[in-house]
Amino acid sequence: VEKKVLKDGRVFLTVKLEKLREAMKTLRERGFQHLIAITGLDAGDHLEVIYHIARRGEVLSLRVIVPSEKPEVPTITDIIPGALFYEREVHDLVGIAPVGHPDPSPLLLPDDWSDEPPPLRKSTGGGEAK
Amino acid sequence: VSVLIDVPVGPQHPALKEPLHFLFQVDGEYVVDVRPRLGYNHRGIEKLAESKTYLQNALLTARICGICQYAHSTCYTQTAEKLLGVEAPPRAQYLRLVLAELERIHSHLLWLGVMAHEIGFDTMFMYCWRDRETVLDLFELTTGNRVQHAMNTIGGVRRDFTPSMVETVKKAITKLRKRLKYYEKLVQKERTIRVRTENIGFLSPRDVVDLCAVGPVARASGVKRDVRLDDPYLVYDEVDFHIVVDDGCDVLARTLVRCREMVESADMILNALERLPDGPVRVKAPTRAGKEEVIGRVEAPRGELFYYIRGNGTNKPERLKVRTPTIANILSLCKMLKGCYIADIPPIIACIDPCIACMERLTFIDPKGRRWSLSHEELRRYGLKWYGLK
Repeated sequence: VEKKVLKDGRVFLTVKLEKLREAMKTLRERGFQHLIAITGLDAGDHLEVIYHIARRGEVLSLRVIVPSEKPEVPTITDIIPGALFYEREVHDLVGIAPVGHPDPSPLLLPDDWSDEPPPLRKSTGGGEAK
Repeated sequence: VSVLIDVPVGPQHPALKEPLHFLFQVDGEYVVDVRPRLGYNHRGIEKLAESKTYLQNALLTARICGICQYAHSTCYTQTAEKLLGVEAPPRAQYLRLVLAELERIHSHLLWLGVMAHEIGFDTMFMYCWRDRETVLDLFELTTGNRVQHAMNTIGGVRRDFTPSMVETVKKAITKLRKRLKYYEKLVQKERTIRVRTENIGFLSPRDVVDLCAVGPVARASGVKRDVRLDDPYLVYDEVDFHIVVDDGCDVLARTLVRCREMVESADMILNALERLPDGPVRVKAPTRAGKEEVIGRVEAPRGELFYYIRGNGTNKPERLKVRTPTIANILSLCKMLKGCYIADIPPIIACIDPCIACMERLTFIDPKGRRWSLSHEELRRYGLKWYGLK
């Protein structure tokens, strides 16, 4: 429940985790139907999930803060079916589980990755090319 | 009594140009259900980007994809420019537009060739790829490279067009435009193309909205969705163009939309070169960004491309997120495949113009789950050893 407008007119909105689905429904009713992407990120002491959703030229980024101890978000696939793959991508790469997703199997990572930490967490090394 | 049979296609398959796996459930000749599995080309570029500077990332992002590399580097640089607080000078923006539209022509021609090949029309494949050479030659002339131009930098472009280059581009594009018009006519008239594409791979406008499809796939189902119009970037609000929409909802409509878009792009290039302003092509940009976040959108040849960058006060990004048009269209593709004939699978898969390298962005993995990355030098030595040169 915090609003930030960037210099170029893009809006970033932060809502509480339990209000996410409600906010998504309201946005969809107001014409924000095109889900562009879902960004998951590790911000150190907590995790964040950002839903970028557009109504033609307007893009609204809806952010929820997810505690690192309980990396879960409610699914929005029943509100926007276009989220099916993006939620799985966030699950694979950042390790934030979409609760209620019809098929949360790995999308990008190998099937036997599950016992390893998700690659996009800051604690995971690698990617340090010389 | 019908029996459902599972048919795995890919990741390596003659009908697929890049690694992607589909599990088809078929009943006789009909596809009942399909489950895609991605990840065969995942290279961890988003992770790698966090260890590179903003300038290095301009080159890294261009390597996400070989075909639409200019769309990636344009989207990245304009988003990073916003974060770093610089703006490219007008001439640079015009040049970026010209190159972006040239890339659209090259990408669509390449696609048209592949599409023709998928339906067994290899003569057209050869002609399309021959005409595509015109564009690649223009890239070589203006940027110095045919595929990876490394033209974009933060704060502008690295090379300027000389007056003689502008004339050559104009002349070549005017000539190419005639060929593009011919392809448009050919697709409408040629019977071989029509029987293999008409009423195949249906996608309703409702599905486009629900499944968040983008680019030519959305526009061929009557949904006027184009970032160039909705959310103008570069100087798209200064040049004249029309958004091509078709309500055929099938593979033919997607082919036609792309053919007409190429003609529009040719007009846009000529128009932009007429208006090309004088001035510098790049400005000096700072190397460090604050703890802010920005988003950027670009209409790549395959549809909307999206970048999200968050800074952390250093010269490297905290997080760089890429959403490519192919992943946005895979859900729609699955929808199109349901109910089709097995023989129509290749043209339907080809019709969204899938780019797997784009979609999955290098970590080496062995079956035991060990991961490592190679340095440039190690990679070079590995390559030499592999080919028995050292």
